[in-house]
Amino acid sequence: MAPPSTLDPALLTAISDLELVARVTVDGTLSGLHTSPFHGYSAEFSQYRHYRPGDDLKYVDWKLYARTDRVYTKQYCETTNLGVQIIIDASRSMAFAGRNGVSKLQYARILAASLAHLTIGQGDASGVIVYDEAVRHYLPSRVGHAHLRRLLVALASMQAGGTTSSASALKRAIDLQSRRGLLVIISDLYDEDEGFERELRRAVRIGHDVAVFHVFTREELEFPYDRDVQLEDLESGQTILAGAATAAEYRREFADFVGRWRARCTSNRIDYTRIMTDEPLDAALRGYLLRRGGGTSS
Amino acid sequence: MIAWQNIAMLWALPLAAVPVIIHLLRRHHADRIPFPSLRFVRSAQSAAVRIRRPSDPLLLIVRMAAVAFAVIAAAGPILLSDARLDRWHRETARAVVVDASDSMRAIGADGVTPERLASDAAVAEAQSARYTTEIRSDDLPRGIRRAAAWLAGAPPAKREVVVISDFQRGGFDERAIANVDRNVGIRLIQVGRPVSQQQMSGPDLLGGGGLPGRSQTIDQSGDATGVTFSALVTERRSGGLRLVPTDPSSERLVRVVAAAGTPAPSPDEPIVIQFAANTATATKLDRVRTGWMLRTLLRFQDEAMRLSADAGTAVRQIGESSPWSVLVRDSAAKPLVSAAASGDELVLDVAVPTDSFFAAFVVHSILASRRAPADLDEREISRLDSATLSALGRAAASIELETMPHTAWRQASTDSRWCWATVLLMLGIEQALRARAVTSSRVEGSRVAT
Repeated sequence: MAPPSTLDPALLTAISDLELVARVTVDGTLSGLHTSPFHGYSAEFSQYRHYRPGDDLKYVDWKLYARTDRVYTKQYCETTNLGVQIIIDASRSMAFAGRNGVSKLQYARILAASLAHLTIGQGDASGVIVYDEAVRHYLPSRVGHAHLRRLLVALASMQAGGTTSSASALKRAIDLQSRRGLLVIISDLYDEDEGFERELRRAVRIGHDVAVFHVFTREELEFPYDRDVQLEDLESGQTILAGAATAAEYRREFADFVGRWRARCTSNRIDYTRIMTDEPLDAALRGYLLRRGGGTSS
Repeated sequence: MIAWQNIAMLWALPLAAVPVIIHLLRRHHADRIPFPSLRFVRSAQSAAVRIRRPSDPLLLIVRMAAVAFAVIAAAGPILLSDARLDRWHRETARAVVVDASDSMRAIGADGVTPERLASDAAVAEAQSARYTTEIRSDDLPRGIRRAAAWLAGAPPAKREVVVISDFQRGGFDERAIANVDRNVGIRLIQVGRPVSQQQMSGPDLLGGGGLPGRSQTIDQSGDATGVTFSALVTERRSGGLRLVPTDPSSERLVRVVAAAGTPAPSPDEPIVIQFAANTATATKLDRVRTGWMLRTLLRFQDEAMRLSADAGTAVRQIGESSPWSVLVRDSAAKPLVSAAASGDELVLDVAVPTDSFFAAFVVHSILASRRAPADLDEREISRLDSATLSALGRAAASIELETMPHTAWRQASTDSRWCWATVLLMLGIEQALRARAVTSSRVEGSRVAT
């Protein structure tokens, strides 16, 4: 049974040390998990070691067990690393914060930092792409803690601005990713155009694992305005008078929007995770890692 | 049918439109809130239409109803049901006027004062009425006016004035009840048994100029009254009044005044009247401060004012800077009658000759004003008979809602409490509707979240 989630997003965003935040999140996330869900490509046998609970049974040498009556697992020299490229939407819409004061961008920052910490911590490579209408920051996938520091600095310094153009950012990420790897997209997915979906399909087709973290706030979901308000679009600046009369229609359309993305990702074998900014971050991350470890996607 | 306690409050009924106004104003002053994307929010064109359309008509109606019922409650609705009208017809608002004049304290033929009997009767009358008040007055007409005023503001019920008195002849007549509303019943309760006959002394009369002073003896028996005059001894006749100068004309003046039946002076309260500005008489004058002198001058001034109203002369109050207080001035504002004190004597300076009519008026009036007129009326033993009293009385009329004084509605119990209860109910429904809206949004959000 998973431990109770204690990592309140509001608390985490109050901590300025992003590395500490990432470590705390990852520690809380991995607590109770048997294995890391990220597997490097290994080829060359290195040595045996005693089986430890949590080791993958496929590495158990059953012949040796038959001879010695002891369980050993085989270890290999890693010849290649898993390359994880985290693609973060930093458009103005991501600056929207819910009642708990945590913006989607802040949440995405911690989520990305945690993933990077987790990946680099186990010897895999991780990079980051920050984009709005264009790619604003690019760090290629690298290993090592020095690179993790650079990556965390890049995450800490990113600011929300501009409109969203996920298709071009994803196309750039695919082009820059020379090897097959894992593409993690963290966005509110408001630019729901054909180009973006086409790039997602292309990424899957050329062999990338693709994971989409759909981040939004509870306010976007519930539209809790029972009185009339002038809503101002964070990206376009357009204003609309809205209120309780528009709420029901909005909720229905937003639900359809979420459902469309879920169906679209599932049909393209893309891992889709819906995250709200008031949910404990470790719980959200744990759900994803468990699915990935089990080889399933929702 | 509904009556209203404060019908003017119904002018506030347009306040029921306040929720609509607030609704419109809030739409025009909507807060500006940043939002990630407006792609799922309806376009501004259709929102403009919604400005005029309430988002939750039921909620708006409930709020308007709450305000309307609050206004109605403040107006004090009185539902005129049959049961309520029957109850009003059975109830009585009674004002009991009890005679408190001196005659009520005279011991009657049965050895009991009418006052005591009146108190018992007043208690009995008060106990048999739903709303009651007791008014004690030594002036019955004034007491009846107060009773009528009280009844005008009494709660809805049959109205009645009960007058409890000995009803001396001359003390009460139909004029006393002429201004009482015709719907108000009048009952006259006579108490006490008067003595059958009595004898009493009247005031002594002035003598002088050859006429003797006289005393009066008044005999009353039933409806007959007889007066017997007797000659006074000399010192009682002339002591207490001195006219200056003392000459034949003064003697003639006293004779004229005595012949007119003027009350005799008192040696204890001496009065000096000097005519034609003969100011040499008084040696040391002071302002009038003694009680009996002031009372006498005030009564005299009342008489003089009545005279001056006819003569067109001005009358000034006592209290000038000199010892002389001018009581009466002529049309040229010159003093006609002035007063001052000289020791125990009250000194009047009269600026007219002794052989004038005004001189006789001053002498007569000052002597008549010296002491309060004997309240012989209160000693009257003749009373109105029961037939006369029955003729003056009348039964209380049934309640007529159309002619009910507006002040009476203000005392009636209203049905406002039901309206306030409805207001509370409406507020409860309003809260429930608002909570329902919030809950539905959360439920819908949770459904999407899962």
